[in-house]
Amino acid sequence: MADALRIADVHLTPLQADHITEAMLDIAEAWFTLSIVARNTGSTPLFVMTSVRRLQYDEARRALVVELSEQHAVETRDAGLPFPPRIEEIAPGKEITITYRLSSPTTIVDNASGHSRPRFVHIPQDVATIDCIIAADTTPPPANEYLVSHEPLPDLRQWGYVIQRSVRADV
Amino acid sequence: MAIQIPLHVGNPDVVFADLVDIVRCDAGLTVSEPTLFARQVAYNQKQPAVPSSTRILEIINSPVNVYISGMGYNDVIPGVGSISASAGLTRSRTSLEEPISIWYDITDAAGFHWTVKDKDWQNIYMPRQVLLYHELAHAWHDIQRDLATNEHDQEVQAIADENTFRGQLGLTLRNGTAHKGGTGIPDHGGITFPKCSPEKKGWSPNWKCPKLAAVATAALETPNTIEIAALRRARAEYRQVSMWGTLIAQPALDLYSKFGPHLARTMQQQPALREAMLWFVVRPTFHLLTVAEAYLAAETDTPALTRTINAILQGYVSGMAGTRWSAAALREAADDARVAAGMLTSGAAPSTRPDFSNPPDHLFSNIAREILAVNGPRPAAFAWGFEGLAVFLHSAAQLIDGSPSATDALLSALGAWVARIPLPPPSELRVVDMRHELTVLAGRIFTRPDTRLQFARHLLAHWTGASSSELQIVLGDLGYLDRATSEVHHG
Repeated sequence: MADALRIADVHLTPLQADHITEAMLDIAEAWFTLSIVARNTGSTPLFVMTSVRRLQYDEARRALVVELSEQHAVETRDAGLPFPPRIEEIAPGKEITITYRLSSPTTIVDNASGHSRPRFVHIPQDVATIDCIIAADTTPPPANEYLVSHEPLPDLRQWGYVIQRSVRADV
Repeated sequence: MAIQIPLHVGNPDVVFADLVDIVRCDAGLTVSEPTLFARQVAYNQKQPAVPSSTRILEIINSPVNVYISGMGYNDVIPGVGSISASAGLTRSRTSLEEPISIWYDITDAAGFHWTVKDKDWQNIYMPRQVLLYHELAHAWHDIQRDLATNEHDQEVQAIADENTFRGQLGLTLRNGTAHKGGTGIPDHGGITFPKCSPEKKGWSPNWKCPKLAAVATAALETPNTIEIAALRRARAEYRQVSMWGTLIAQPALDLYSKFGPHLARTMQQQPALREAMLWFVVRPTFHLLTVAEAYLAAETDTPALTRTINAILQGYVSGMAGTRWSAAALREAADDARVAAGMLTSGAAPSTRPDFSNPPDHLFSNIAREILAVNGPRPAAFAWGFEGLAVFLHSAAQLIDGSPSATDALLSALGAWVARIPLPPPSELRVVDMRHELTVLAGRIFTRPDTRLQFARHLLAHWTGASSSELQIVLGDLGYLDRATSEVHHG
């Protein structure tokens, strides 16, 4: 069962300087690697989404919400490069480490007030908590390795279960 | 209409450099700043047309505004989420009057590299410029009103255009119908982008805001100094402290990109000017930054803070002892810095080309003339900076003269100077932003109660409109004003 999935650990580490390119320095003063350790504590293989599909900042809780799930995906009229998410299998008793690079500040463009304005979320100053949400299931989403033009991206909003763990953001 | 690059989120230097690559270094692509907060791209084709340059020309000549923002890998776009889920996004119009907005990742997937599929389903590289071209293809079809009716056909449309650009550059073509992509090292073709060379001699294709430290590097004769490291760190930190911070810093950095390189070249040609810039501008700027940060980090004036500031001032003065300049020269430079600040504030037109023949005479007013000679809006940051340097240089002169109150004088002037930090123009000081902005500023910059109060007065004096009472309430809530100071009124 998908509830056999455990988020065993979540931590942030500063990205080594030799991994930071000039372009990365152009947009942020510091970079971190967010590592999420996902463990299959059950006896059957689990399939987990390992791509970050959504990132949010909850200002009231000073929480960075990292969603490796499409359950909160919204309908959009935006065009772009609609990359499907990565799905990885975790064998029973095994774990994988999912990594994601985060910049400090992370720019959250907000247009709630009718005009576009940036909010700069600095790590660790503005982030007390990291909420990790991961989608998983015992069966993978429909195989769709070779997506073609008239084949829509799989709608994974209903796929699997989600588990969540909130941790204090210690760098 | 035009292509516009918003300054407060758009990373304009990188976006413009990518557009230059797309027009293959045609020097006819130019940029102007119609306002403090956006760059407008114009194009008067000077090189023989190629498909990619024609596409840019068509978009710029169209009746639609296209806003392009260069984003970080995990930056968040309104209504969508993180840019990392899709590398780039184009928001099409819902009405003909609306602009089109493009956001694209300029960090190459935070250094992991974006990849897409070729005809054999091998991973090939998606360079930043190709990614932007792909998004511009979506925009172009929106402008043409021939945008495909569903997301997947829109992709096919954009991939076809992208492949025209790839073919033009000799890059491996993308699979015409495949959405699949992600990050990682490409299976073949490497991670290079064919850079262009300009046909017009003397024009640099690598248009980019010159390094912050162009003047400092010319003065110090090497970029590897603690002064330059500190200035770079400060730029990164304060430019993105908040939206107001960006709205203040980015136009100043933009303006610097106009006069800085010329000033740096003049310094390289005139050793006396280089030396004067080093001792009267660059080192004092570094020391002023250090002093101001020490001041702001303290809860209040303490003997320890006084000792720290005295040590910084002494360090500068000790260095000056090895030069030919005296306290009188410092005092004259301080007075000139005040004059220059006044020139910048009033916007007095430059009379003649700056004469740097006898530095440090009129050093600051000559720099002000350089700044005033630049066309376009003039941010207030330089006037404020010169005022700070005037305070520092004057205190240094006092110390050389043996005055026991030099450090105290600097300390007492610092708070007022910091609190007079330039503000965004009234049109950008919005009620909806103020609580968030003031919260950030209280937490990061104005941690000292006395400086918070001084800043509150400064802000109230510049706040226009009917919402000043609301501002006072927010200032009270956030600890800028207390009951005793609630009599502070707008104006």
